Amino acid sequence: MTTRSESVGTDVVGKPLKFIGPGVDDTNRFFFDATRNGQLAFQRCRTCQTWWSLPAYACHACGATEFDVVPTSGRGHVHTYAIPRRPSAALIDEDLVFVVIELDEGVRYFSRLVGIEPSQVDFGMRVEVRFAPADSGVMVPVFAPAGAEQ
Amino acid sequence: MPNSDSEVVIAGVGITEMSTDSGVSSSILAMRAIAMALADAGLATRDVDGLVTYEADPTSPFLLVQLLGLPELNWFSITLAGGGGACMTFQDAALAVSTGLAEVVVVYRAENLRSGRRFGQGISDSDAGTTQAVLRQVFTYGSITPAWWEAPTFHRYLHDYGKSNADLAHVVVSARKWAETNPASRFFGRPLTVDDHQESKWVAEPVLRVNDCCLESDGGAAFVVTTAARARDLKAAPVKVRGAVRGMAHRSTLMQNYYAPDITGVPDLDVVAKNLYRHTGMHAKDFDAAIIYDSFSPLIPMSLEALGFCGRGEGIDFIAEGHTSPGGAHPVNPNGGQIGEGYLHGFNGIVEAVRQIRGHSVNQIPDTNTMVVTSGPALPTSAMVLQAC
Repeated sequence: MTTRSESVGTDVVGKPLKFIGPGVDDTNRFFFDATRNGQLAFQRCRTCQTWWSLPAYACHACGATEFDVVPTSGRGHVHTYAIPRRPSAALIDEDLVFVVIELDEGVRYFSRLVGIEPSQVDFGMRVEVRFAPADSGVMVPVFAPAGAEQ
Repeated sequence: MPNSDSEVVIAGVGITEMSTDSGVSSSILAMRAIAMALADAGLATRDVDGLVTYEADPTSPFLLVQLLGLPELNWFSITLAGGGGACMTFQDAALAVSTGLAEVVVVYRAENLRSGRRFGQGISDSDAGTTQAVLRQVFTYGSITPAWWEAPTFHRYLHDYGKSNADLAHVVVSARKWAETNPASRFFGRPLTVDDHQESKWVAEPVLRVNDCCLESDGGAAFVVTTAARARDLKAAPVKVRGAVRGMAHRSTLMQNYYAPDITGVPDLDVVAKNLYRHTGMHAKDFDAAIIYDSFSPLIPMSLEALGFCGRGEGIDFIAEGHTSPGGAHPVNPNGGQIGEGYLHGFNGIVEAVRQIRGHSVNQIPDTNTMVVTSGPALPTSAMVLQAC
């Protein structure tokens, strides 16, 4: 079994959400500094403006090493998704929906979709970011259907 | 092509039973498999001067030196990328023996992947090893099994090509047709219908069912890799390693190809196929049969597309039409694959390839001289071509 460090507590969907970690270190601190301020921000290359949602030291498009951390709109659509079912013992939470979001800025981000019946999720669905506190104090971005009640 | 002395061959092969509970440690499985491979070749432990395995094997080459009382080693390595490393081990061994750095290299994989650590039950941060940092982002949200990591990309593949899990049933039915006549398979004598497939439970809805996943197994396999010259007076018919390559795609990430421009393929295998065909001068039409790494059923059509057996998005129909099944023109995984025979990180499929080319598989395909073998394709991966000498 997995050695989980579960974190609890959010009112995003009227109940606590659980996470593993997340671990914060010098490769991703900028990301969680932004989420604490209510922003979903990624690195964007200062030279060619290419976005990348995973920590990087050089731009995959042009090789430049200067990035700006730029907030996104937090809005996008479901590029793909899957609903984990088995083994049930490995599910860290109820109603988990794994989604790959394509932000309106064109950059993708893997996350969790909340506030929707899993059977209602579909490709292309409009979504927007919410922030849920993990028990380490880190704010974790999740997504909900756009326009849903907060 | 005439065989030259420096050509690299597989001169011996060994595989233990694949079971749900071996009752012994992974190291014992490794030693059993190695002993079988050496016996097959007609060699002794004192002849071995190289050892290669791949990431996550619990038995290191250094432990085997002690356990087997090996003489001095001239080559050892552990390749990366989990199941993507299966054919990398042969590339490492081939490079070592073809350059004279070592003469007899044993490549091996042995683990209790069912009674011990079951990846499908959830992987902890520490188990993930070198991949941990890369996987941290998906761990955060609770995605902790290989099926869950890969299901989103599989889903987009199915969606973009107008397919669903019901279409994947044909892939699994084809695998089980081979397994049905393989006594080493848990499904020997147990056919599967499309309806049976559709009744199995969801692992990741609406993408993968239990029947779409490989059979986690306890077991071990080993191979003796040496030069054609050294193999000439050995017991077993050698099988040539015609070419073995590895590769990683631009913007690839381990087990979660979510960020590539197009997520409906297996980009690491695209790189490997290009390298393999450039290195060997061969193409899909040159292979009599194929061993395709199938930890999950969608990887078979996706890999066939990457290798050029059919066009992009055509893989499922290609399989449903029977081309890869018994009697088809492009037999795939004639042992049943990891879905039909057992999951040994790709090594049982390599055993099958050697047996086919030697001409004594239980599901022998007539006139099988050349086979392509792939490794785990949702990772930096590897592939090779094996050929009769």
